[in-house]
Amino acid sequence: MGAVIAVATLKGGSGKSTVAGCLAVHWQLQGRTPALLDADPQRSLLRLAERERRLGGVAVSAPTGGPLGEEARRLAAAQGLAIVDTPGFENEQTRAAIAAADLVILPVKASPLDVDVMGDTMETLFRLRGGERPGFRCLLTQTTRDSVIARHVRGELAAAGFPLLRAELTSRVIYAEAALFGATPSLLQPRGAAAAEIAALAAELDALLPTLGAAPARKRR
Amino acid sequence: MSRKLPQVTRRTLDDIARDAGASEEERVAAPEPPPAGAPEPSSADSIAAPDVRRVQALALVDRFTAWSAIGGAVPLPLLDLASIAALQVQLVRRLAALYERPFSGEAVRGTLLAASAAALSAGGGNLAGMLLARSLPWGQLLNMWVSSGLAAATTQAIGRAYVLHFESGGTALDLDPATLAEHYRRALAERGSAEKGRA
Repeated sequence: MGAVIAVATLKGGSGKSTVAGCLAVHWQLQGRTPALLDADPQRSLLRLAERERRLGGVAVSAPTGGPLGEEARRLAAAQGLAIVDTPGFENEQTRAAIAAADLVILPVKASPLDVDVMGDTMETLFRLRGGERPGFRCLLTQTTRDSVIARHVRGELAAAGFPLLRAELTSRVIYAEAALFGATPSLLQPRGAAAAEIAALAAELDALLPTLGAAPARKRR
Repeated sequence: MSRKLPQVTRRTLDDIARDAGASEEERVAAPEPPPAGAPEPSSADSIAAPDVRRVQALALVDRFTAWSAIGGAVPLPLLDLASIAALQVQLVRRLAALYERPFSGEAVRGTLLAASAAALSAGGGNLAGMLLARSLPWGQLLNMWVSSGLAAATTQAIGRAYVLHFESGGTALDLDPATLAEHYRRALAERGSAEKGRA
């Protein structure tokens, strides 16, 4: 057993691959063995893993062509945790990843267009049921620190009943710089502000996963 | 900055759930383990394709397996057996709902009981030993560890057996206890091999 986290939204550019990669690298640095399953046809994570820092040695793979959900669960069972980066549109792979997940993270930027599409993603998530549905949380990404718009969007989403993570990933140059090295902020500037935000997000998810019935990610032996 | 910003979204979470046809129960963001006897959500408008449904089913089995492991670690013999049995029946109930098959708690309890008896009589020495060890004072700690794994293994075996059965068109009312007992035996044998490998 192990947990499957799907990072999904039907809109491109919302930070799915960044969220998936940053979480996996953070947990790897913590001594765990997360697996990244790159189901996004852009293959951003696989491309990063080919660069100098190789995403800190995280195991990244592309779907083998079999049922994606089963593959994700097999990886989770073997590695303790599988994180699936999904396509930025609705297709069979997106649906399979959502169906297999213990937790779906929906990254959303503080913009009305992103919020609208997040609603569409949730509609897909609600329809993909039949007795069982994964837990899900929205995550504000690429926000401007201490901005009125970020606070406004957070307040509005909370008031409308959307389950938001407390953690937030603010827009920082370090993400682009780290990508040049095939790294994430946790690898390049482990004491930096971006790494601290990623750590806060990971800690929040660590506390959340067991409440969803998912086994906590295990440490390397 | 003090200007009033316009609304970001006109749809609330409830609006979206309603648009998608989800029931009230399904709007909960993070579902807790279901209580025994909880009503099943409707799946009439489910858009789950067969592959997606199988994955949902196996994910459900994984979740109940994890809960069973916790239930098995409770050091109270009757309480843990009762809670695990309730979880296993509830798992079959949820799988039956997922596959839109008729369900009867009584029939499933009967099948599980018959399968357990068959597995015990045909080489369930490990299980019998574990039950005996419960009565020994020094056995409690060891027992928590063993019974937790055993509970997880049997729940997983039940889940997988019913998924296979439903996939092939069966219902919760007609699974042969002998088939289920075979799944038990395989699960216990796998667990035994895993323990030997670890030792």
